[in-house]
Amino acid sequence: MGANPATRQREMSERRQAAGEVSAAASGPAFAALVNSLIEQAPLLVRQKSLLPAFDWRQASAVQVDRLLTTLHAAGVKIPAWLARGILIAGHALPQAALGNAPEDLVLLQALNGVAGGGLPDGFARRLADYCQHERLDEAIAVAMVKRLVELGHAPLGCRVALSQAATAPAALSHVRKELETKTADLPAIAVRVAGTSTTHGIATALVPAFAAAGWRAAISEADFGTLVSELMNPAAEADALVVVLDRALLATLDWRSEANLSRGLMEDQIEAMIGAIKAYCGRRAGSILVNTLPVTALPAAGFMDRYHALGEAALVAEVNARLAKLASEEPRVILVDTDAALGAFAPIDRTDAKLWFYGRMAYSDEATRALARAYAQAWRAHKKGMAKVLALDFDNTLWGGVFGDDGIGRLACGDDFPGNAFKALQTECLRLKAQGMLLVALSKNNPDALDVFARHPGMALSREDFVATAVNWEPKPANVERIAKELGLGLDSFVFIDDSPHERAAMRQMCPAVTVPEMPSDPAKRPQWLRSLAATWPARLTGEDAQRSELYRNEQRRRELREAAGSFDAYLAGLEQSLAVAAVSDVTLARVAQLHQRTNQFNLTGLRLTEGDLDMRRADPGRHVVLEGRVHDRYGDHGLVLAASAAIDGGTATIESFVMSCRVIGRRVEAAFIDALMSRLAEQGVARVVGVFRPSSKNGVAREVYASLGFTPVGATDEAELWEADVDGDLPARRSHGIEITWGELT
Amino acid sequence: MGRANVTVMPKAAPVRAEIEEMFREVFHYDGPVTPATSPADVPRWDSLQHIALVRAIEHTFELSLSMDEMMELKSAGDIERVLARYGV
Repeated sequence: MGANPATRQREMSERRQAAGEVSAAASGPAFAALVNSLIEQAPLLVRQKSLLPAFDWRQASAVQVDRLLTTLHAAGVKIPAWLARGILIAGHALPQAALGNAPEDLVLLQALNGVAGGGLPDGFARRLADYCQHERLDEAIAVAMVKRLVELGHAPLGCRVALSQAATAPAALSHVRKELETKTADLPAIAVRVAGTSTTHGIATALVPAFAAAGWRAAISEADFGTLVSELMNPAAEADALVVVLDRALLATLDWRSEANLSRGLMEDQIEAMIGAIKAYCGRRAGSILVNTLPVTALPAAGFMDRYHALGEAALVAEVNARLAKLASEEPRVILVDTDAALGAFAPIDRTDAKLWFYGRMAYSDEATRALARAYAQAWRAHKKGMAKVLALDFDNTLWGGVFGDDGIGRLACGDDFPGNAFKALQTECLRLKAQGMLLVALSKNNPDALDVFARHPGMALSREDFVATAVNWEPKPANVERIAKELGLGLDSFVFIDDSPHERAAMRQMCPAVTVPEMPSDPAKRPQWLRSLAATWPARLTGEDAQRSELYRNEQRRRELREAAGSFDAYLAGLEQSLAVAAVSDVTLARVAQLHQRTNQFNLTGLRLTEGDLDMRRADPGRHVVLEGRVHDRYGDHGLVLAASAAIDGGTATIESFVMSCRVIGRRVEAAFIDALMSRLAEQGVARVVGVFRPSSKNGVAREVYASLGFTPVGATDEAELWEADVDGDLPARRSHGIEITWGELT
Repeated sequence: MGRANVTVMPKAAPVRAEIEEMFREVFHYDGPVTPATSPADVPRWDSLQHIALVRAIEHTFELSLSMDEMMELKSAGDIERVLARYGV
């Protein structure tokens, strides 16, 4: 606000450029003479940083820009980053050599402006898309890039850039408005309902690009103003997601005439009523509810007592947020969006805009509204897609400072002193992710003895046992990742690759495009926070299984060894001493069973992704639905809850609408035991005939033969599905011969 | 402020072009903009989008309109008139 006029003027000129406006065409001989003298004086003006920062380079021709470069070169003056930026956002090309140590977004724009004709340099599209996915671009640069991409005929890439930057560079979207419609037409559609304590129009608008960036085409509808509670109690429309937007208006009904504790009590009743309404919604509707927390207060209502006064604003905000957190921990379908985290880039005072509030009861500033919209969409994505499962880690100059092969163990930096403490902090972040269910994989070009570093170097936070798999060799890293993915039975899209070398990152993107390859800061001090900021690693809802996943996979390694040692497969299975515990899905296991449905791609017979809400509804109707879960145990340990199936009963016939099994237990006949159990259970329910459905997908080929192997009879197939059937009391050999002990748990 | 001598800049046309651009942006309105263009001509110019227009004006011209001025903007001509006060 208090910026000096020159800065203001420059910003203004840039904003106009950012908005893509056609500026007043300054022309005529007088203006040309002015530009020419600016260029003549450029060496001096660059040193003084005067006049040129305010100049809009779209007013200069390519010839004039060339002359500027020649003049500066002749005077031995390097082009500073601010000048390069001004020239590039105006759409001019700059020779690569002119750009010294410029920020990556400027380098990318420089490459783009330099393209002649339509073809982009090799790997450029992926590099740009990846950078935009993880980094925030300068607004003017984002706009210039999108415009340039459209000019070059790469509108889809322009859309990606614009969507990824929608929260902070909304002007970029307007250059691809038409293309966006085509691009988002292919995305899966969801119905999103928006309700809130204030005007929701702004956020409803911002949610469209935010969801598109996250991979969904959102059809938005808004509840009427001020009808949050009645919308929750009596929803006017079906929605896949209900976005509830809370803000300080929730606290606006405080009565300062009453005694403080009385007023506080009334306030709490009101909050409880809203929370009760959210619970009621969960009971009645199937979709998810995304609720945000209240943002931290910018100004206290009770001065220095604000945190403990009954009507302190900070105290009330904390109270509301604690109740929301409790609600989210109890109601699996409530997804809590942390407003303070989402708006972390803005000072509390900039999250609101008094004028917007009084004009239209809009509770958040424009910038905050867009950032919040993005947070809702990201939270939705995290819950739908689940977090990445594997963190593949480089060693040298990533997990420790220095190169093992050159420096030897003693000289590697990792420990409690600078600069090793930054590397140790990154290792600690990796341990945090492991505790939250991610698998750590070592991926280093080194001799295998580099693994000894973890035991022999005193400063390491990680130990060798923290890695479920290691590839410490001289093979290309993409080949190693592919091998490990196969060993672990996971898709490449479950992997996040962390490596300090731009070369290795580029190779991984090229060879394994499904792997997530974030750009990494070159300064080790910035990396621990950076790793924490990667949304792909954020757990949405933690199950007990997540925390022990590493243990589960390591046991799998031991089983593999046994399999290789044991002669025949049957002998191997017998030696495993497997048992299967079957039960109906319960409150405790609901989250895990839903997660299994969301995450399982290989052994997933129908592709039906039952959510917690879907499961809840089936549970509530036991006469027509049987939903069973299965846990597998063997002599090496517990596999946990790895099987689930849902059958819909209609008269004497039950259709197995979903059947999923974790890839951890593929190939050991537990699916036969599970179907055996399911059929017994269905027989008890009076079912005579069971119909199995197989719906092929790109990934579930491994499950194709299941019903055939169980002895079901094919009864028809379409392009989309194969149908199989069996009598529940028919003699299916697979039911007799799986050799797995079945135990029964709670069935209601 | 006394009676500042408001000079009408000889820039009416460029400002009109910027306003047209804002109308395209905010209201998706492609028709011609004249001083008489009002909410009656622009389907999306309702009270909610009005605030978006105000933000666009503030953002583009780097100024902050008062509540009164916000309410004053009932046509494209009003916008030019208010902007003239800021020397635009």
